[in-house]
Amino acid sequence: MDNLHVFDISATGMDYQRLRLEAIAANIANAHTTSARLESLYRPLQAVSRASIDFSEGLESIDGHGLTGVQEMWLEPKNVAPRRVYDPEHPHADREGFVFYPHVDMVDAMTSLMVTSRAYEANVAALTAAKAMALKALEIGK
Amino acid sequence: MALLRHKIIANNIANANTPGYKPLKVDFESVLRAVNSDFNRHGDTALFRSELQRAEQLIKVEVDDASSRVVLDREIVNLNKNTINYQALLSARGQLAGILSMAIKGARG
Repeated sequence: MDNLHVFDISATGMDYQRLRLEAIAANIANAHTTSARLESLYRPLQAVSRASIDFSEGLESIDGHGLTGVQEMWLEPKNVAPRRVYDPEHPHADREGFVFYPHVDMVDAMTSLMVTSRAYEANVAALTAAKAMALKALEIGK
Repeated sequence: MALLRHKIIANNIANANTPGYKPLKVDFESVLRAVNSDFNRHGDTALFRSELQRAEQLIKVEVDDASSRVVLDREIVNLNKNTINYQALLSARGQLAGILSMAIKGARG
């Protein structure tokens, strides 16, 4: 049944938004985590995804069956330099008295959080629409 | 089949917070696909029927290797899918019963 296929597509979208939320939550949670060694310092994470369609292959190859939503999703560390704070009493301070913190932009994290939760809602709305359509289809001939 | 699947989803949701619990799944479609491809190769209707009846015993509940924990919204999506499938099956059965009752009543219906 084709309507049920939409369920899987929306489910991958929901999965991806949840992964984004997890990344944001981990970033906020570790915003003030320091480390004695700079290499082992927490790096803010970013959720990355790959669609099921490769648009470089041209649009002819796309049919309804090729639509499977988000194909792959994973987390990657963001390429941002750590924040340097002068705090000589801190146990993790280096010889010059600086402590390194992961560069977590709280404004960016909060706006991403809002966008993520709205995107999740949008996926749920698509799923609800598919469900309503499937149930309506069952009423044919009644 | 839909009832078994419902039970499994309910079990997964109930154990969502149980440490070490791995979600279960049931795969009837692959059994059905195997039977179907057999039929396409041989084209034997009687064999197809007997295999279809046997297929019900081949259904097995297995641990979902793909996920190590219960993802609640996935389970809810599967639950919805299953419910609609079940309703579709029920309405198909209702239609069959309708045809039967039409046959019984004949022209009087």
